[in-house]
Amino acid sequence: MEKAARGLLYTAKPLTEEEHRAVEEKFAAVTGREVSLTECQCEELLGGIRVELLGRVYDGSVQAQLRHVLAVLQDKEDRHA
Amino acid sequence: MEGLFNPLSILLHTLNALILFVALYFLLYKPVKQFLDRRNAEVAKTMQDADETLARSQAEYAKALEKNRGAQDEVQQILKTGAQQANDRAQAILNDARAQADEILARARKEAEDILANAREAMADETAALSVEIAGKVLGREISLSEHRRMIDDFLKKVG
Repeated sequence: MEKAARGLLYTAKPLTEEEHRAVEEKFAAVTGREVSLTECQCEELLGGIRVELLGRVYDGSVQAQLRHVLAVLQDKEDRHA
Repeated sequence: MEGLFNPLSILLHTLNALILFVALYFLLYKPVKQFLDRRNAEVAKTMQDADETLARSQAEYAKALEKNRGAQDEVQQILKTGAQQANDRAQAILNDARAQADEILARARKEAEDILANAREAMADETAALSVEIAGKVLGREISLSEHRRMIDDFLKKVG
């Protein structure tokens, strides 16, 4: 494996150690590096997590889904208009 | 009585008178007549010149009168044509003004419609944003720890 990568893990509710490790292992498999994530609690996410690693953002939060819904609603209304 | 009626004296007197008449004729009558004839001729010539001048003046006057009449007719024609042109021009200006007013009105209507459409769009966007915000607040209260964990599992399955 290449050198370690450090990133940020945002979560709406605190993760257990197992969950934290599971996330780090998943991203290690994706990036091919040893991954170390710093956990930050962010209630604005409402639910789910967001990971920022190696210049990329992986957003699985409820907030991101709501933003997507909003974008679709506004885009649909523009098309109808 | 011989002293009173002397034929020789009568003859001499008659001759004297004759000589006097002849002398007067040549010395007085003839020059005076010539002078008078000359003067008459001059007066006649002057009168003739005056008549010619009068005739010429009358001809000029008649010509001027005719020209004036023609000029008046021309003036009348110009006035008539000018009035017609002014009328046509006024009508054209009026038509232009009407067309411009119609154009302005149409443009104003279009702008009002655009403003209304933009306002509707903005309002719809705001409504959507507000709806999503409210949904967010509701979800924030409703999402449990188990649902949160399920979301993380689903997310990890999709990543990669």
